[in-house]
Amino acid sequence: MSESALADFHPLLDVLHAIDVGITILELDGTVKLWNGFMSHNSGFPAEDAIGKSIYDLFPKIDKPWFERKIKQTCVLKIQAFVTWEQRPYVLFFRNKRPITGQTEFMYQNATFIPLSDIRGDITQVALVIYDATQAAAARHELEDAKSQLELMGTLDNDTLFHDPASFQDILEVERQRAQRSDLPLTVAHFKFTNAQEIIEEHGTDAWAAYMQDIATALKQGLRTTDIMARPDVDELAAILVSTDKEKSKVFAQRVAGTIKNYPTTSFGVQLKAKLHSVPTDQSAYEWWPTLHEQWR
Amino acid sequence: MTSQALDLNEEYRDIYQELVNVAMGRAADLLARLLDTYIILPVPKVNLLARTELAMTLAALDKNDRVSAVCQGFSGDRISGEALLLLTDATFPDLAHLLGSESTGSRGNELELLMDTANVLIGACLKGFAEQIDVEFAQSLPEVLGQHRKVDGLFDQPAIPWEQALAIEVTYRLENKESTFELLLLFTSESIEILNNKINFLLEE
Repeated sequence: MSESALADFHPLLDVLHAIDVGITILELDGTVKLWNGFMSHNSGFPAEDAIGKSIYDLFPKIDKPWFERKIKQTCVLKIQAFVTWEQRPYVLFFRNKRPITGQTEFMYQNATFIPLSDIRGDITQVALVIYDATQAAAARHELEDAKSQLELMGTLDNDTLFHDPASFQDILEVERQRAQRSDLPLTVAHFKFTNAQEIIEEHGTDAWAAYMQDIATALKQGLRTTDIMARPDVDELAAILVSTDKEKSKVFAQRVAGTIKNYPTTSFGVQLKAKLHSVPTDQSAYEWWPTLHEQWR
Repeated sequence: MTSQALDLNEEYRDIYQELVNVAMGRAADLLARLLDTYIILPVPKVNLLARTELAMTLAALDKNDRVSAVCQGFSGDRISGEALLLLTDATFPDLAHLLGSESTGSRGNELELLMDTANVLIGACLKGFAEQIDVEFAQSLPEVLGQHRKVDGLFDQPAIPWEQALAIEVTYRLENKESTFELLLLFTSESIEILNNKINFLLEE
């Protein structure tokens, strides 16, 4: 190497070690030959400890057959192999660079395996380049959460944000099938405001909507995470109580009735009726519920 | 020689076809070693494509078939473009058999399968192509365009206003299998002139 080439080479090495990208060179059996700053900082192994060791020993939890296959693929085809975080969240377990406020314990990674040939053109080493993709992954996850939230909203009742009639039946059917498989009891608690029609006529639909909204907020505080609330009709509420028999669901029904009765703005003088139904597990909820619902009209 | 941009005559078409043929020939040998199966090499189709024709080119795939697609950008020597790999859902079991047999057993990870296939097919073909015209392509990280989607829905109006592209289409078939994959190399219209010059240079040699 000429002197000027060497002079160019030196700063390049500095960059290699300072750059915020992981660079390591491995022999085909996984022995580490080069380990840059990013790799040291994130793995906790300084270069002098990593070089000469096997990557499989440094990271015992590595998916070895997969990793070996990537190396093989890179060597045989003499092409780069790309791995994205969507495909597998990380190649090497590094901690999230934001250990306090980060969303995940680990660093999401994109990675590239690059074949390196010797003077004769044979592939004798592989470079593994690792990019921190945590931010991209977090952004994607947030987007997906927002999307599913939106989808869910579409099936919720506008006032109460409980499930609307269609979604109530869908969930009821899913739970019925689950109850049938698991042989656990399933109960529906059904509430009807018997004088709702008069109240709406006197105070208007907006007042009723506002009342339902308030009641729903009050009820939500007393719900278990497994209780599924719905509004099957304008003057009705229902709850799907999983793994709960009729006897146990009485407590739930009384609590709901109590909350509604004690709610401060009961100037409407609402009258509430409650019914508890054991859900028959051998009949489709799409048949069972409409019939039952019709009976109480 | 004058530039041949945006005008693809028979002669050039044949040469592109031949270039990809040779590239695939080399790649197929390597692929066979990796996958332990023989890949039937078709004659690549070379076309100048208008933007609106992109989806139509993929008409070889049934419109109602669910497909998964991966794209990967490449660039080098002022030539740039994208490689696109499409597979129908029916292909996955065969692929799982091929790639999965030596992998980590029952991972059933279709995304990984898709990316692996894209990696191997796109990488091998691009490399073979680049070597012959003596350029080196840098490849971007591959991206999944969609999984299990209808072909129609895959190409929602890209924001970049491109007009025409050079498209080289290869339909692979695995020996003794029904499964096919579509590999599409798309070169930007700016690249065509440079590519043609490279070819002229090859012809003069």
